Amino acid sequence: MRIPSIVLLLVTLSQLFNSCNQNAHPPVAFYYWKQTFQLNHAQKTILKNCATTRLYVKFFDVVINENNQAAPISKIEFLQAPTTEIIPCVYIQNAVFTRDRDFEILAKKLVELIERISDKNKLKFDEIQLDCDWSESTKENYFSFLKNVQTQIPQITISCTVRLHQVKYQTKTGVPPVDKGLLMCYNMDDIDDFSTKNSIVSEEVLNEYLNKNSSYSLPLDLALPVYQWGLVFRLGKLGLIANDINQNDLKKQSVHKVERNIYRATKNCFVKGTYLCKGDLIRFEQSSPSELIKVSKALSKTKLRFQQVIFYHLSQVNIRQYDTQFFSKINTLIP
Amino acid sequence: MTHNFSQRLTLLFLSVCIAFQSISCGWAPYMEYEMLFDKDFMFDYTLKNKEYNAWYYNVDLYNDGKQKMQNAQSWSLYLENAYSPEDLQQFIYREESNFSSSEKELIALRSKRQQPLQSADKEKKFVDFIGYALKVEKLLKAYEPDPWEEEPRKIVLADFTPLMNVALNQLKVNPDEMIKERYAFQLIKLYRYSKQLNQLIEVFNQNFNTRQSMLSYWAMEHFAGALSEMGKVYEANYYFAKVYIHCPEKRSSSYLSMKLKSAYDFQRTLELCTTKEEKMALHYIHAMRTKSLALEDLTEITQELGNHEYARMIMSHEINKLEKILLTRNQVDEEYLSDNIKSLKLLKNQVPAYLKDLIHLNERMLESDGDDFYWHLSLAYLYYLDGQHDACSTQLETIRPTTRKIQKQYDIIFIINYIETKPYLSDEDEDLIGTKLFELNENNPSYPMLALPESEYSENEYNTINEFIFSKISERYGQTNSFLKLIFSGGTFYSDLCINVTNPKDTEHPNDFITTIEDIDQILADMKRTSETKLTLFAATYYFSGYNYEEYETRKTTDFKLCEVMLNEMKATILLRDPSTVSEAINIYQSLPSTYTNECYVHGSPFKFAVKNPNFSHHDEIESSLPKFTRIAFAEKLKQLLNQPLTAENAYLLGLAYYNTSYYGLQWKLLAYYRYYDSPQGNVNMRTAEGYFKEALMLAGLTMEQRAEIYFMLARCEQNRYTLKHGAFPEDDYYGPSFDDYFEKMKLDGYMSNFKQLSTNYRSTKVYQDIIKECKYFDTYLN
Repeated sequence: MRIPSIVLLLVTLSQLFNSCNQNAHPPVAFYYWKQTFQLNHAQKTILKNCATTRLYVKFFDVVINENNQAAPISKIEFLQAPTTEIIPCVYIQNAVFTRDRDFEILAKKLVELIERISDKNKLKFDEIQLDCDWSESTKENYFSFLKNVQTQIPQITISCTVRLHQVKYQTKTGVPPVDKGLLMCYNMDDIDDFSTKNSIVSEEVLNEYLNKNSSYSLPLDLALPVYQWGLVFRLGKLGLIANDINQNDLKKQSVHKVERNIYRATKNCFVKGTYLCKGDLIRFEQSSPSELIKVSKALSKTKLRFQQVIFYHLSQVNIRQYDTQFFSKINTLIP
Repeated sequence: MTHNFSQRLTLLFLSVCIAFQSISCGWAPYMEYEMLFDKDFMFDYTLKNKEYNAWYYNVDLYNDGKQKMQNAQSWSLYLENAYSPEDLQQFIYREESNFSSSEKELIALRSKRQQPLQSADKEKKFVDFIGYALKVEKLLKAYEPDPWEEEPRKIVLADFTPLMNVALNQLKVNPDEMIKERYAFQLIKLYRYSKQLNQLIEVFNQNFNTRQSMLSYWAMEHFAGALSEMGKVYEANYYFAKVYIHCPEKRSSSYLSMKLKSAYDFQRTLELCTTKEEKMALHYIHAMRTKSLALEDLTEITQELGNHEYARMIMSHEINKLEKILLTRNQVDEEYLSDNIKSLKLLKNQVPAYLKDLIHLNERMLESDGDDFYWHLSLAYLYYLDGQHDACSTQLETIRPTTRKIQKQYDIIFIINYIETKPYLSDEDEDLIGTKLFELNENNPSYPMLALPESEYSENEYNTINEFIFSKISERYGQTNSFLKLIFSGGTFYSDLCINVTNPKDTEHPNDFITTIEDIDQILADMKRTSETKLTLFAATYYFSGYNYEEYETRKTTDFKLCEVMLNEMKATILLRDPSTVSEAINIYQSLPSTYTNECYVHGSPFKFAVKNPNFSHHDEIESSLPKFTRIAFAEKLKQLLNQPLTAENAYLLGLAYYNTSYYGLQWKLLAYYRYYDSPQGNVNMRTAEGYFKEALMLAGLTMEQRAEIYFMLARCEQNRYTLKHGAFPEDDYYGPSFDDYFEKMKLDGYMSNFKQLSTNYRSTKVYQDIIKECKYFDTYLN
């Protein structure tokens, strides 16, 4: 008889949970990455059941606009008053740091905009998280910007995202001058390559970046993925991404299943706002509980320790399919 | 080497640099793949298409400048062509603060008038309107949101009302339709920004709904925007689609404003279209989505409208997508080929399957309308892309090109297909291909894209037929024939061989790109066994052509004889670097046409000692006052010295000659073609010069002054050798070892032996005093 994977997962988790001191494990938080803030019943239930007190909300993105200036876009709109503590997050394009700018002014504007959004929505925050995939060439400018942000609001904790490659090659990419880092354990593999098994999360790929001696000189939080998407391959290469779809969305007359997670469009059609063309191949990817467990175990073998686990992300329709217990218990595996 | 020759080298180098820079900056996104199907050529046979202008799906082609010019042109027409659109554009587009009074502005405007007007009051109406429009712009600008502000500025209606009243009044009282339309448009903008959407719709319906002017489509975009803001998404889509179709300069913004997120959205919008043309226009917009495959929309359009320009435009668009994939090298990932997984096979088959679908559609089009050459050419090219070369040839035979552009497209498909049908290219085949290449390139061999008159370039996309053919020939014959490899490499003599010529005996500074005498001999031998066909001449002309400064033009054609002359001249110059092969070099020079060898000279004698360090810029400035030395004259002087019994004087002169013609000397161009300015490379060998200096010192007959000079030259040689190994002397701001540390290390390593000689034995000479004044290294050494 085939035992459902979720049962196996829960058994494994409870065994591990029993063998650990619950208090020693980091609390669970979530990301909210949509432009309008409005939690539905399922999302509220997850937050409640996970006893989550902190929600990391993307306030806006900073990009280079047509005038070659750094400008915010996609500012958040709160349609609902949050019941948890909100931590403003800002995604900043790496291109912002490819040339010299007045980073003092940029930091000031960024902090002021966060404060204005917070004031308007009566939010208080004790941390700001900045997300940028900086590189060796942009390190200097990005770090200078981070210092300026810290100077603007010295009483607030500044955290920033750290990718796996930035841990592995930290002597080259440097360690950002912030209070805390957030290790991103998702978007791990090459999404352009059709033969990639799962670009979202993979223990195998994680092990290419981290080993038992891996450490980082900043206090770290950990971000784990709970999302899914369809990667649409058109004319032999990745054409677009269909975000937040599930396998049921792909059960349409005009889409046929070819393999376990590969679908083929037999005629042009829309799938949740994504226009598919005849012949498109869609590789459905998700962060499965079993893979996340493997990743968590692999992390526990390193020297990395985490203060908090943050799941990316709550702001999706398909979040309801993740078992509540999964969120509340997976942190027992986190070192 | 002549003055002209040195200028020529400098300019050639600059032109090469500029070309490289252009490729890396402007062209890169378009040069990553071959683009051989000209999407413009379909306009060649019907003027209607050009006027319609819906072809340009590339939003980059629509910029603000075009809107401004169109507006200025419409004003120019209104003002009876008394003013140039350029002057009017300057008058219209400026800051409100620069607009003084209507009276003064009228005087300023009239100063630009080119001919009298019949209705002089039009000028005043124009000036008054511009004054008004600038005020509107100023107000709207103040309401433009600052991206760093959380809230947009709160609308104060009182700011808008006075300007709205002016426009409303003009609409009532002004009899001039053109002026009324302009005020109505300003009013629409004011209503849009002040969120008075119902009023906006009323003004639009009263003033623009039935019009088809440029401004009516500008107004329609605001109208559609208002509908969208009111939640009438499908109506908004419909009007945005109309703007997209009829107003090219607003295509980008109207397209981006459409909300077609589902089949339902598309269907509901489609239902609003009243005519078949409108419905098909929506399919056209749908098809032109950059990433979508357009086959279904294309099928719909061909079924409804037959051979419509929408269909031809979409087909060209799809062909451009496919050629981008199929012609670009290394597109097929080999790892997929051996994989048996079903999905990988499907992935690999995506492009061929889509290509087949397009072929079927094209074949059907020809069955129903075989008169239009477009579908013959597109099918021929699709067959080519599909590897059906015989079918391509047959298809081409059905076409009789009627215009130059069609002929060009025909020839391009013909050449690439012809190459594929021939396992081996005979001389006749090469003549045929080469003749067509010369014709395609207006007799001006070029690389990587077609050489076309400036007016024929389509903004920022290029046809890379030359690069494609060069790569095809290079793939076939490049490995077995070094001459063919060279001329089909895409490089040029001046950017390639001339730069790579360095001293083959130089072991202190190994260079990966050395061109040796053996290389040149091999190239010459391979050239002799290469047929001089039109195709090889085309490539050779490109490779060996340079700017002819005597005639102020680039050579149009180069025969193999000239290639041989240039290669032999280079060989002789390399031979000249070795004293034992000077006679051989002279024999070669003497065998070359004197017109060519006389072109190669420098200024200033290489046989002279100078205590001052060479200043290359200064030398270039004063060179016309210095005597000339051709390479052949230099060679003969060397030979004369070498043939005489070696005296101290002769050895000293030979040492000076080999030093001054090395990388470090002012006459470097006698033994090289290119000099790197950032770091020493090329003819950097110091051993020959050092050998002669040392021999001179061992022979009797030199004065103390001369001996001091020689020790100084030897010090230069040993310093050059040291810096080649260890890098240049650190500058003051150099991040790394200090100058003093570097200098001390050099001394410890034994590279100051000649300074020691100078300081120990030659303090009493005049040269010694001059050296102290000129040479900071020696000064440092002493102190």
